[in-house]
Amino acid sequence: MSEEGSIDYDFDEDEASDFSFESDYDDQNDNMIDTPIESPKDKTDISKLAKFKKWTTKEFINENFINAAVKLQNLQLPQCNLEDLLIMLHQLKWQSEEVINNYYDNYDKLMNDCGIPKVKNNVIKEKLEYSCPICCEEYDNIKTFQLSCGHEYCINCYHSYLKTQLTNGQLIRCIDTSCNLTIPHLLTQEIFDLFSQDVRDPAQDFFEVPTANSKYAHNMLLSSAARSYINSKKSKYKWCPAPDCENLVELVDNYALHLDNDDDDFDEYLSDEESTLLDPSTNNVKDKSKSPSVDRPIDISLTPIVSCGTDHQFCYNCQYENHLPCPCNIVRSWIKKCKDDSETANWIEANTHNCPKCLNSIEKNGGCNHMTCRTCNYEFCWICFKEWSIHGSQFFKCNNFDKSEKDAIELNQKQKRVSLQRYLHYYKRFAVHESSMKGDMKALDKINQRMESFMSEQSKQNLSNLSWTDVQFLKDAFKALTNGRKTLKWSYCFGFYMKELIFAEVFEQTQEHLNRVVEDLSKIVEEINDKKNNDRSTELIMKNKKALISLTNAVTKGQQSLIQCAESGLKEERLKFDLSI
Amino acid sequence: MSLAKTRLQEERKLWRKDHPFGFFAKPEKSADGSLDLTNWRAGIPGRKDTIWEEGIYPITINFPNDYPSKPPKVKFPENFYHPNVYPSGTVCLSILNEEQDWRPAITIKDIVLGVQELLSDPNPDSPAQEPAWKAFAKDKELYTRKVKEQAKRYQNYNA
Repeated sequence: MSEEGSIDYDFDEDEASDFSFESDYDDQNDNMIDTPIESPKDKTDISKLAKFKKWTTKEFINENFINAAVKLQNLQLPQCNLEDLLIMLHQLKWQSEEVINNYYDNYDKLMNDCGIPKVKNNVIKEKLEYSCPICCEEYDNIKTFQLSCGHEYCINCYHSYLKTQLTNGQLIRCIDTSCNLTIPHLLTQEIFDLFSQDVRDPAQDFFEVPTANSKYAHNMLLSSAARSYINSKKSKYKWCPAPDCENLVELVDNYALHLDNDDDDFDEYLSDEESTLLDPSTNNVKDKSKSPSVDRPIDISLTPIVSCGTDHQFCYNCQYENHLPCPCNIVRSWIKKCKDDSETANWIEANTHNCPKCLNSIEKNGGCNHMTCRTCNYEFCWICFKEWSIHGSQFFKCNNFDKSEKDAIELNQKQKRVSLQRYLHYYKRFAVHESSMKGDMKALDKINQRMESFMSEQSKQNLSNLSWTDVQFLKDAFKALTNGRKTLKWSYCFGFYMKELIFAEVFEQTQEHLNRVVEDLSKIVEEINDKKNNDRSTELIMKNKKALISLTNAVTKGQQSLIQCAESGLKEERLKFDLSI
Repeated sequence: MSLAKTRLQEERKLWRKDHPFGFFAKPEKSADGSLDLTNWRAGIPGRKDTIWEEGIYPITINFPNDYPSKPPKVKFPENFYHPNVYPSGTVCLSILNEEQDWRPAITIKDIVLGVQELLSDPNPDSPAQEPAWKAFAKDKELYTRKVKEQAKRYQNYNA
């Protein structure tokens, strides 16, 4: 569970832990990201109608696990206690229906499978002179733990057992091999807490009215159960790909037609989209009858960009950061290109020759044309690649010159060189923005910290009535800068695959504009953060407030217009991709 | 002394006091002559009235540092003929799998008895090698012959 986060995040959390039994519809809708609905009739625009819901891991556990148990207790199974209901839900993969059915149809088996005994007597004891059968240590004074079965082991052994069992997200049973009893969720946490270093603030607990949700607030077993549950439903839930972010996004409703409400459908849609987009022959399909939608132009407004509770935007389809203006297939192709060694291979092609005998790569960096391969000792002529012995032993003279053959080789090499340079051109810019983005983040983090301490200082001394809304512009600048860089970064990937059409220049101009404003904004941030200006940073921030605000707007606008330019260009086919590069 | 060592010493005591008939299990000697408690050698007798009965099959048991949190690794000799033994000799058994049924309370006695049971009662759902698994599933005659041949080879194995 992530405890860091912006103010909004904390606010959301409070709201979520404020347990309401039947969460009303409007409330849920706040979390929905509605993507604009333009033409509901158009069947191909499925992702436009998709609805996504943001979750933090904590909210997810509260809603789907704890509230599910509370609901069962309040409505269908009031005779059960919450612990047992949680175990039953956990055992039956969190399906309330299954719990109710099994409870009434097959009670004994359910209790047995869940490892819930009729009489409960789980105890953590303080013991003198105890010898544990697991670690075989003789303790003078030790805590032990046993479930109702009476299988008693020392708390150290239980703790390391729990730690290893935690990884698979299943219910945890008694250590004894033949014993099926389950350790209740609260107890697992109690044991972990015995070993935990950080002590929770008692004041916080004092003000908190203990609810079902707060009792389980830090339950590690539930977190691990949530992880494995979410991972097992990959098409419905996607983790936010941002580093250290523990939020996820749920696909609530992706269907233009509410006919088939199962996961396969979306997968199908995705793979369908994938295949049409990935197919380089998309623009001149032979068999139109088979896939009528294949010929349609690319529409990047369909890219399912979602944002998690902490405002990290990502593509639900690729589970990769927001890569607009690039469509998903271009992104995949680019990532693959950057990852594999295709460019290394290109360099080798462009700059080396193979030994005609053993085919080892040789780079000639000087010397005469009489080559001796270091690997196989074959002697040959660098000009004609034939055996050296036919060239005589006097001075160099190669008459075995076949012009057309030679030209073909050179042309090929030249093309390879140009293509390599082209790739490097775009890759360099792509990479520069990526690394600048990281630099900016660090700088902005520092500024944020400084602002915070400045604000608290000010309010302590009652020096000013600045409120957080007055420095909101800093946060906005932060967001605009990183988002602007991200778009710019991907626009170079876009550029790499772009065909040289007239409209391409318009795209490049828009890109150039965004580049300029992003750099300007970044420069101010850098200046504020400069060590030389350490003492004046808050002063500089306030002084540059106007410039920061206007540049923030300019960046956001520039970013939008670049994406729009790409979007309309692709839609009206003024821009096209060449995937054969 | 590490947790593993204390427990292993206790395991050794327990084994010497009492162990199932026909089995043996003991720690290997290290180069300097002292006992290496993390590496054991053991012999598993084939069950009476099964095709495995004539042999005493050698295994090595290797205990990791975080034993008993993590299970030990049990190996037969390479290319041992059994559907659930990998070509490397590693045994595929749920109680020896951390993600499956391993629990810290499992003792060496449980392990060797578990392996003995696996010998004459293979699990066709988790094949670990092709020859034995195929024969077991499709050609019982060949399987029986091979197992008996192997039993002869291990007839005289002992400590």
